[in-house]
Amino acid sequence: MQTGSSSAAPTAVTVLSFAVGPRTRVALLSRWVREVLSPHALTPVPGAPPHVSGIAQIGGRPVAVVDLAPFFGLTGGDVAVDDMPRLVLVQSGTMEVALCGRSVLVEDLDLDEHAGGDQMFGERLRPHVQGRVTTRRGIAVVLDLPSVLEAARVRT
Amino acid sequence: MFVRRSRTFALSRLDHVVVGLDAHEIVSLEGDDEPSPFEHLDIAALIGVRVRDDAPRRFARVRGLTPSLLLGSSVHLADYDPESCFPLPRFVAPALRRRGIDGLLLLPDGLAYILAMDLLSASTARKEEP
Repeated sequence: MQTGSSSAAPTAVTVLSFAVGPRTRVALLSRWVREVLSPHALTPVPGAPPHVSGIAQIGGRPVAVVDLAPFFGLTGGDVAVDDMPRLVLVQSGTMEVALCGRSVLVEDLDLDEHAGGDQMFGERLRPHVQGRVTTRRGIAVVLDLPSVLEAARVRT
Repeated sequence: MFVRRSRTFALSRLDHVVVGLDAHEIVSLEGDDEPSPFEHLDIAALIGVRVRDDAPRRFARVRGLTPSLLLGSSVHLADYDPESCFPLPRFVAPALRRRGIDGLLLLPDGLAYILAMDLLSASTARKEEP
């Protein structure tokens, strides 16, 4: 039993992190991630919001492809050309989505779970922050994937 | 629930989108030189894509729907394996259902949106509401 200290020991987690937009790196706990893929041909989705890039055939089935940059308002600035674009296939319950990302890393890191209210995160990102980790490419926001997908899914 | 009832679809390319209509639903296909005597529902307008104005147009009369469907140009019939038909991904399904689409057909070079008669009827009814 831990006594004499108010700070809990950091939680060791395996995360997959990737760049979203020009300056932001996000991370997901590995349990949400199914696969990392090269970019696929996309079919546009009529009437969908800007963060829905389209639908791709992945593993012989249609999957919605989502770019979190416009959803979180992370636009402006140039993306590094040496960062290969990737699709990160994720699943939460019965919801399966491919997220657009660059510079994908998988690492075992310490999760700082007290970062949710951090002002460094934008207003649209903050409700979905589970914590943060320090990756080889800098600090990454650990996203609560079910919360993100529920907020971003198309309703009408 | 999405149910596949036919392996034959009438496919039409509308800008960057391909739409498919269950061939069993079609009573007749008419060309631009045989203008439909019925009011028509423009599928391109319904799903929000633009097509070239000078492209030849094909109308389909379908079962249970009063207006004929303006399918656009280059309509052709093709057979597909039942396993090529999929329900809509949950993430985007409402946006597509609102436009009369209830399934996806995997093509060798992409995807086609499958039109559903009941959803098209509902869309037509919404348009007619004051």
